[in-house]
Amino acid sequence: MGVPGFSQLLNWEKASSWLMYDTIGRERTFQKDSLSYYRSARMNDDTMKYYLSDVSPVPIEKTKGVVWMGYYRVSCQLLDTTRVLLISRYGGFFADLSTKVYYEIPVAERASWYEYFNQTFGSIARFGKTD
Amino acid sequence: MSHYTTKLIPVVFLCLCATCCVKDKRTISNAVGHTAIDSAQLYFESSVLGEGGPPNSQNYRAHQPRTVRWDLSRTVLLSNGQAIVAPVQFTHPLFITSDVTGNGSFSLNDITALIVMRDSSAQFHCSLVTYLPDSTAIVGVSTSSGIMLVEDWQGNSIRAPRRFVKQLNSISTSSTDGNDGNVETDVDVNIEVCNTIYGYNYSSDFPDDGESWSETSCNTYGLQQLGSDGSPGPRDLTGIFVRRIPIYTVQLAPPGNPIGNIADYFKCFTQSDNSDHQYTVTLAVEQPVTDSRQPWTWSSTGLGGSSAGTNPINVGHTWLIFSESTGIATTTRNVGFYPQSIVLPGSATAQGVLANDENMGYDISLTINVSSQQFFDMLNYTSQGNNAGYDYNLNSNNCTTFALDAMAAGGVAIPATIGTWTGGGQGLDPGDLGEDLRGMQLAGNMSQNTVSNPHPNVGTCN
Repeated sequence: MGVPGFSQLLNWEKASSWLMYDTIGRERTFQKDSLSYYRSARMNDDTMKYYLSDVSPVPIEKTKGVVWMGYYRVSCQLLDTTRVLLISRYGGFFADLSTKVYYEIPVAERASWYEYFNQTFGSIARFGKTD
Repeated sequence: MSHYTTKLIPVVFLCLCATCCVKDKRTISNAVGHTAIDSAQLYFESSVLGEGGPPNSQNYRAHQPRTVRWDLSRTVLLSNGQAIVAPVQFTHPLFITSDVTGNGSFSLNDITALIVMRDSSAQFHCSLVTYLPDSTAIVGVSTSSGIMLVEDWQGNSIRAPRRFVKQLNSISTSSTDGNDGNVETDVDVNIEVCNTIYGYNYSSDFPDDGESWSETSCNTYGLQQLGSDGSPGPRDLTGIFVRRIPIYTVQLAPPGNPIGNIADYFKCFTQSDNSDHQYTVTLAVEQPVTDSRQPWTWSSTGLGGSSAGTNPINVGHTWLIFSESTGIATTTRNVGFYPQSIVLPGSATAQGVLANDENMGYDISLTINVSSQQFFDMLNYTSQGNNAGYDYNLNSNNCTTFALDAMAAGGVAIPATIGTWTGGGQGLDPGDLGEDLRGMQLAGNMSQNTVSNPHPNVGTCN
């Protein structure tokens, strides 16, 4: 199977300063440069490192026409760059907007992965602040 | 002037008494055959442990069982003279952190040491030193900065807690010997506390001509310099803690997944025909394109782009919101049906799985009042979504299909248009369903909403 080029793959374990944004209802006007305008919640770096410790790229054949059914928008710092990711609400996969590479986490971790994002997003709604 | 609000957020609660108490000065002669360490131990056990008094009620650490590791003690030359340094070992594993430590925590066993030394009159002094490296010291593997606590064995402060950093002060001197004139000094942090009062002068004759004013007063609290009582200072930490202090990071255990056990997820619902029990089911729809029947679309944001490569398709979503109200309490559960893995138009089937959709936004929703029997018939249908072998299919059993079939199981029929899409696919879809709901003639037990309101899960039970 085709795998994204090595130069495109990133070591997500080294990412930090994870933030989730409340962009519901505003996705179609979302601008990467205006991240700070969205309510957000800080995510725990250690928790994200835990989930991303065994992430693998999705073969290209499985990403052509992949169906999205809702996603969370998050950002992180990696290699001195702010990276914006889409975290799918299903399937345990996420996509890096800058490289357009898809990654997926192990099946065994997906249930708690969804719940972690659900809880984090809920904290934005409850407290409505940036950490 | 530095402004630091040093706040300790310990795993072990840390609250220090500000009393300054110079402890026992009993002189113990070195008996023949006794080493300096023996003498220090003898002094500590007879004078400090035996007569030191109860532990400070405000100091959690002082109440914990701990021992002095005299077997690991050593003689060290500190800034005020020779001292015996002995590690302190807490019986139970205790970890401590602070706001200057970053993400790390330290074992108290690694950062606590007993210091025993004699003054110029040969009198013994004893202090317990606790040192928390800050992020700078952690990165530099040094003891150059952080927080230093100097207490007696009972947990009373011998000197005020100290937040210190190392600072290079450049001295503008001509250099003839090759030195650059830089001097390394310890900088004690001064804490400034300001209070502001606000006032308003009101004149009854001219009520609109009031004058507002404020006053700010500040006090600066400087931490003590190293005094003459012989207690160690920051410069001595390198000699006290010679071994690299290990840092621990806390790995948060991942949260559980409540909907993994659907029976548990729904357990708070109670079936009753009493009039005080009201049941509603809401069909919530997020369309790929609001107000459009378009079944799905190439994403206009995110990864949208060329027709080749990684083209994302946003199909929207449909899910159910179950709610029971007893007049006293309300229980609400969101549930949607998804594939467990990536699906494509050309690879449309995957094991199904239920998910909590309380954070999804919708374009339109339809809420229906139902009987308890209808409600539980729908719950029962929904519960199969996690069953092994119960598959999600992008065409024949997608989220919209699932939600409408669940409602049909409870005797509620929702008219729905079958859509078609690229690749010969067809089936129920959020785009069409949303428009079907908009055009729907509402019965008396129905209500519609086209503004996405929060719909969190509420209600718990034992």
